[in-house]
Amino acid sequence: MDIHETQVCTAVIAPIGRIDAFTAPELRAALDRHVVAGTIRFVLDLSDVAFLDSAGMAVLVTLLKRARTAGGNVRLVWPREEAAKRILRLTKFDRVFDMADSADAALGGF
Amino acid sequence: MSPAPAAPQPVLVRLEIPAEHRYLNVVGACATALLGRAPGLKEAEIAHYNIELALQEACTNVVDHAYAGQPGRIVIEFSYIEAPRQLTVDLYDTGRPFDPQMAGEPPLDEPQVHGYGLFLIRSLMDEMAYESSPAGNHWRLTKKLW
Repeated sequence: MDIHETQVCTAVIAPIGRIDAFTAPELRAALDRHVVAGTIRFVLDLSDVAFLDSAGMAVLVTLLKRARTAGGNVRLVWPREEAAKRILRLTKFDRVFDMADSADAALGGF
Repeated sequence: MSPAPAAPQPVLVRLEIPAEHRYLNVVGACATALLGRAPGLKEAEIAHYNIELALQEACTNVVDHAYAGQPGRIVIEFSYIEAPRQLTVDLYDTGRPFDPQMAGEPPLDEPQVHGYGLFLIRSLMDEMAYESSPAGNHWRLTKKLW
């Protein structure tokens, strides 16, 4: 008997604090490690992200494009910070990404 | 006849920082601290965040495009006035002039890696002006506050 087993992993990444032009490279490097390891499904839990600028947005979009090209996806968990939520709506990130209210809900969608 | 009351004078705060990503959070923190003492600001946390984000984007633009990795300085002048309540921020740098071709609106229905910076500044502030002179670049961002 041959048994073919496939394990599909979803990485849940929860940055805490501020994602800006200074800290975005650190997040990008952390995500790159998962991409290189073959991960194509991601949950980016932004619950505790207090500030997100366009450099941080670029990291999220780059990951989304790479994941979707490989047949995967990126789901975002809404930040708790109301002002940050409004920016995600303003930039239509809430339409480009699949959004969820919690990491568990995001994982359930895969 | 008593003289007309003097027009309210703006509060001026001047900041100068190295043009490096590491120090840009100082600019937003300064604006937040300045506005934190403004009494009765509506949706204060939203206003603080939006102004901080617009300033972050403007300064990142200076670091990435005007100086493009070269060392430089950014001078930031805050001018806050109570009546009508308004914050004006002037940013000065001596890097390369701004390229107007970068000013296009990003197509938001498709995910974009670049182009959100100027869009955010325009969306979050009431006025955005830019001028270039032999002395350098000057951005003026204005936000009316309620």
